[in-house]
Amino acid sequence: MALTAGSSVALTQADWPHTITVRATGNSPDGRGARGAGAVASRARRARHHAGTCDCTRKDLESDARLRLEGRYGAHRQRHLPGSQYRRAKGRTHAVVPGKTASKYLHYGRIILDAGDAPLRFDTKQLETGLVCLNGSATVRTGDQSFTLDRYDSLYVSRDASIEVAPGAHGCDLAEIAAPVERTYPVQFVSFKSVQQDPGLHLNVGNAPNQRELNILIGKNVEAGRILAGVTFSAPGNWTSWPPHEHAAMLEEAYLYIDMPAPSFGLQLVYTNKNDPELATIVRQDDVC
Amino acid sequence: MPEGYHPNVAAPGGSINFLWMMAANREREDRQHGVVNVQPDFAAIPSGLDKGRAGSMMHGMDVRLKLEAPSEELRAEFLDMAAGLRRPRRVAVRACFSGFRGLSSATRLGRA
Repeated sequence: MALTAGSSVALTQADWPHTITVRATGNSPDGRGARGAGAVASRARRARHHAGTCDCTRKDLESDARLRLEGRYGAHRQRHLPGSQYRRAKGRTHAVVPGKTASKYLHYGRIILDAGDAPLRFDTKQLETGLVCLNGSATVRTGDQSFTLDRYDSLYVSRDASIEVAPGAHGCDLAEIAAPVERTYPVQFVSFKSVQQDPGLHLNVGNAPNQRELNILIGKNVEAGRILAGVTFSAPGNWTSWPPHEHAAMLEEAYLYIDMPAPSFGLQLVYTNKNDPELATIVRQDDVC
Repeated sequence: MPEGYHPNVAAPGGSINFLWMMAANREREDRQHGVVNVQPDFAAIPSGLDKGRAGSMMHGMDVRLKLEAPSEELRAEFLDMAAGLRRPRRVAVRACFSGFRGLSSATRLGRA
């Protein structure tokens, strides 16, 4: 579509519910707008971003765009930020799964049990698995070992192992992070207290307005094949993941937003071309991005 | 977030807190925390990340960021700059060199 400098036109993407405004900047010699090629590339990136993530119908997408204007979630958003579907689902749920979501290796799920619930058992199969306690406490048994996980404690469990999770006195809410590995690495427990006492794992990064506390739970302190995990807490109103960075050549990543009681919310951006983000959305507690 | 820069911000009065979880593309080889490509527009802006990198270096993290430059040409620039033979001439190099100097300091401290 030919655009003149200063003009704008709204395009609705068939594979993306957002309405995108393309502005001609006037610096394209053919007068078609400088972002013509960029918009095509961005569509391709968005398609990759959503590859396998979304089986929404066009009706879903249109409905979602309309609901967004009303400040409500539509079916597409619930699928794109699957944590919102599992927000308070009891038991063991999976939100990020290769083949169903955009990840190739990363699995993420949640284990939520109330006090008194029967222990939950599962096998790790070919996946190395990290458990991070988000709320409550749990006793986790694997092999002949037993560990008590309190808030932000973590446990690395090797592949081909069995896990039994028993909730503590106030129930438990665990994040389950996993990825396929060829080798077997040892079971390792990491207490949050030990992380906070280690200046190599507990970092106060940046200055206002991008000040945050970074805690590396499963990092170089844990022998593992693929997974890394940690928790970041921003100062109020501050940015994190700043300056903007990416690491797609080596690592894929997901965020689970935690400890953000209403009315707190944040804004999450994902972009390769800053003028045409793949994602720009409000995030709240329990969303996954 | 399979790819792309991914900054976020908290609404005023509240924090944005999150569990970040990553999986390496190649088992073991790519499992390197802190090895990132900073958006070039912001690479020269002081962010405090250097402090984080210095701390993380105690666990061997970020070392590849300094030693494994995107190309042999940049690696040569790093080494020349470290030796005082060349001044940074590119934004990305300056940003990386900042970390490189941190590494040198950490190394000296470690030896001491």
